[in-house]
Amino acid sequence: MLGRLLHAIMRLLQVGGPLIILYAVALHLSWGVLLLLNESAGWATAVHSVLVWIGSEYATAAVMFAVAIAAVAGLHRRLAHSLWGVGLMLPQQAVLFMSAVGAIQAMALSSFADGVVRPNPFIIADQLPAVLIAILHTIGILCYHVFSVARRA
Amino acid sequence: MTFQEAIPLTAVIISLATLVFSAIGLRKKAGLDYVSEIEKRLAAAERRADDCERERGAWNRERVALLERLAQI
Repeated sequence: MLGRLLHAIMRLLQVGGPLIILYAVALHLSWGVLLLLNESAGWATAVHSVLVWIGSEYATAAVMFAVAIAAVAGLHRRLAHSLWGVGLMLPQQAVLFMSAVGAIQAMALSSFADGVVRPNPFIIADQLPAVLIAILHTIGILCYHVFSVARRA
Repeated sequence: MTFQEAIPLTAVIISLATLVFSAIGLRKKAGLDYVSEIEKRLAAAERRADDCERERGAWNRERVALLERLAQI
């Protein structure tokens, strides 16, 4: 029973792995565009923690675009089940974890990156997706490249 | 350590851990694929050997029958 359940979950994750990665790609492309359009996007908590380490909005937007393109390249069928494929997705994972730590910081301090103070449960509810997507992205990488069944040419 | 210092450190540690875990997993997977490939080829070779054995028996019976007919002439 438990084995079947685990098998079903693994199958679900194998299918969902690329979808999680594509979600992160869409997120980073959106953040990149928003940063180029208006500097205020840099005050969003998840974006701010990346921005403070990179420096400028333009450089951060470039990094967002670069990690998104690399992750899409890592989804290519020829790179599936290879360390190159994993390596191309790792920059995106790193950026997601930088956002996640920024979100955890906001939760711990009960304050968003722009200084707005809110009750702790409010910030946890608001910032939890940033933490969950970083964890799910890691599972997605492993499911896509390591745990899925290799297709033979 | 402050949260600000932890941001890149966490990202780097988790990325490296994912890379190492993937390398180990892919290595193990490659080994399993290799074993599975050899097992498949072994099964095919055994099938061919059985077929050849059956064919050899049939040819031997034919040979014996022809020798008997020659002996009767």
